Amino acid sequence: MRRWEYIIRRLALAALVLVSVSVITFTIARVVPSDPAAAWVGPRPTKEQIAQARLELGLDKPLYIQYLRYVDDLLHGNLGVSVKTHQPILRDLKTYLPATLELVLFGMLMAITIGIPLGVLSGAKRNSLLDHSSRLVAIAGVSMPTFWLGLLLQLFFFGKLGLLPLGGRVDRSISLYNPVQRITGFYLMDTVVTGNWVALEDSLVHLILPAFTLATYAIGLTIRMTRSTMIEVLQEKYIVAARAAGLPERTILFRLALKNAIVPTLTVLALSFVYSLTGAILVEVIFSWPGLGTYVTNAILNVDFPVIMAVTLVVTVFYVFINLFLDLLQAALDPRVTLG
Amino acid sequence: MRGKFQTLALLGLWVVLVLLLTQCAPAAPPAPTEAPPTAVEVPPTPVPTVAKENVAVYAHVTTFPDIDPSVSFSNDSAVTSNAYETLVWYNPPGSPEILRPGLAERWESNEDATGWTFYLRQGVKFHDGTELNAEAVKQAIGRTMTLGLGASYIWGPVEEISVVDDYTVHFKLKYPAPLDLIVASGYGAWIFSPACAEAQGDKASEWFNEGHDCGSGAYVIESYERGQRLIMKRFDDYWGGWQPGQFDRVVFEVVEDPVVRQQMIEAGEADVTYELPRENLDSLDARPDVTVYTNPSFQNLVGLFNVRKPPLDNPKVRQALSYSFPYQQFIESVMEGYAVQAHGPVPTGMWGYSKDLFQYSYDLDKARALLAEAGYPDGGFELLFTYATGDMDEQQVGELWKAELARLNINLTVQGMAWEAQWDLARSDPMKAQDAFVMYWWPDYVSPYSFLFNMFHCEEEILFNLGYYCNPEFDEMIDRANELSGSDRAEAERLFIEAQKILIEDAASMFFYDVANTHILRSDIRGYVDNPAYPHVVFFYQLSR
Repeated sequence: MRRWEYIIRRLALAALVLVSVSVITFTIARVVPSDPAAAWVGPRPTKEQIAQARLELGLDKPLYIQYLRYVDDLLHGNLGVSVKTHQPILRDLKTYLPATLELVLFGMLMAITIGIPLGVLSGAKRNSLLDHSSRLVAIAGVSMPTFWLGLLLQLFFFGKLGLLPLGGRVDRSISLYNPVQRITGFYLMDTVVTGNWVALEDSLVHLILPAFTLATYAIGLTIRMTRSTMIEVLQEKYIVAARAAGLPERTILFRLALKNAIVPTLTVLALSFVYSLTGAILVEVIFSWPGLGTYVTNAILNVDFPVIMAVTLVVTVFYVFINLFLDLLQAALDPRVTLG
Repeated sequence: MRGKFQTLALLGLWVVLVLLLTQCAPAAPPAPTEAPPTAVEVPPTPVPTVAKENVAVYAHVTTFPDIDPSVSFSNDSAVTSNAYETLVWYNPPGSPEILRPGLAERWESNEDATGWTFYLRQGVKFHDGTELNAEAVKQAIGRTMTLGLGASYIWGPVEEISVVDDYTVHFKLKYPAPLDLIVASGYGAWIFSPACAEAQGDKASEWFNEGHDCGSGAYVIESYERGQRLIMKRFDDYWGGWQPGQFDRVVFEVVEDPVVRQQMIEAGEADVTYELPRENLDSLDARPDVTVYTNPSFQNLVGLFNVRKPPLDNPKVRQALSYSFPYQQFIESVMEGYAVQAHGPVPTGMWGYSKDLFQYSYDLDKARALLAEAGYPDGGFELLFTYATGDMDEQQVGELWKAELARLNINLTVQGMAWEAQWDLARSDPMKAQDAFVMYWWPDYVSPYSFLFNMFHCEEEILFNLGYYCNPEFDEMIDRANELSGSDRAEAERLFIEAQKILIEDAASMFFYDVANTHILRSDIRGYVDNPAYPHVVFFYQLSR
């Protein structure tokens, strides 16, 4: 199958997945005991207010009409309005999604740059001191609860050393005197574009602890995955042949072996990335990071279904496209993989 | 070998990056009053000259769901209370008068409290530069009533608002009501410049929530990073004027984790916070640089009995259950003393509260005797206790009570539910609903009627009377008291107290405890007094450092 045909077929399937997800979330929202009209009004709704809100929100209409209206709004780029805050969800997402993406991407960058080299070396030098140490790091990274690690890091780097900040995206002195001008919502990018170097530096400093806390699991996973696939690949005949031909070790490890060993690692990293979009809640709470995890958790606690449905859809879109990207990447990296 | 070097180089790069950044990072949390950089240092980007600013930081527990002054009905009052003002303010308990002037210098009502006139303060400016006048009051309240969201129902008694002259506004009511208390509400009673709300048209609510305001309060919203931080700066034209030591700016930091809030207050990163782990409060208070303020709040925990469903349709059984909870033990061991046993449904310190009202105590022998009188000498029945999932205090109330009831051979199922589901079950068929509905209650505007009407007045369609109590004699008494609240508050208070006696005698609910308000401040902050009428609001204009 040609690549373009494959992509089109996958996109069609993606549309089907999105429709299914929208039907499921919409149905759940209507089945679970809750009264969106009462939630819309506030914590102490009166009967009159509830009746009025029911009319305004169209909750008096049959379910299929409500669903069609919902889909119509989605197609017009309207993700709905939060019943708790009365604010357009799209606008909220423009705040919270870039914050989480920045954090998670930075964490992934840490995982890749620390995890993959350690995994490769660990696999290449089995049972060496480096291998034992990196396995220890990997097990610790995978098994350490993030909320505990986050608090420990805060206590040490903020409490004891006073080196790194406690939380937030930028220090309040930046908000007061050098505020970040929002363009994309990615502070690293916005500060570069506007030449606000003080804020850029501060944003980077604020990213270190939460991103590292978030990355520990991915680092552990990357080391483990890369190590085991490297061990497997390094026993292949073509590696033995390459060694016999006297190719440099760097070329063998990072050009020949890693290319074939990297695919499973990238797969788990990508899935871990999407999971982190909403799964970073503990890190976000500990580091007061105004991200998607905190946003959706508050929505769940408040039974704010329009928000829950919108975030579910957005995360589904990420899952679908990341998976598609991974499949294409696999085919590009490994000639044995065919699209179809 | 070269591969190894490359890897090590990458790792080294990370270490160097981290070290470099940590060198760049502020060595300690930068105090807002720090001197500007010295002339020798050349900052990479122009840093504005920072005068010695007095900045207060409030580490706030939650985000601010809605800061539209007409809609705000939640923790966002921490912000709205500093940006907006009401016509009248409710005073903290212990003050000589219940109320004090706000935007209205004085007010009066007709004999039966169906007509109220407020005389406005002159020379008050809104943040958009327009002046406060009677028309602005009429239109601001009008917008709140028209939107019909949040606490707008407090204006239910209002039939018409009329402008008498520039600085006099008159309210004609449909029935007698304490409008002086209503206009002092911390929700839905904010006065703002109608011009700036109108200028935004349909997008006014979004405009407010982007971090704008047009109140007359001492502070103006300067910037708002949703979910993270809101900054307010002093309003130079504030009618109250400014004194040395008052704060130039106020920063609200959203910090959900209590441990992090505690670290902030200990490190001087925050000046005010609340809801820290109770077990840490004593050690915090012992520090010279931190002060813990504790006083009763206007919020209490009740357990509404399902009075329609056997066996709790029998008052004797309800009384027996009221004797089965170890109130003092719970308050001392679980609440660490940060609560007081309730005297009925009206919380400590609020008007309409009486310490002479009867309190049930922990007495299992009395409980057994009452159960025997009711025809249950050996207990032998099952009860369902519902509470809002996530509230550890409610859960522990349930678990402790379950253990005590087991001694009376009563099996209590303690069921945590999402609030919506808990409420949904209670609003369904009472015969299939819970036996005890546990929840907190707090007033919208400060009146015993909020507690007595919402939770105990007969309801045809169930809303918040989730124990289904219905007693016409009680209803008549509280309705009459509410009518008198505006014209004869002493008589109204007497009637409210009498009505509570009926509820206590009928054991319509468990009155577990009145919650304490606990606020933690840096010791160098002066002038702090908690006002439970405005929960967790810090009026920064009253503070100084």
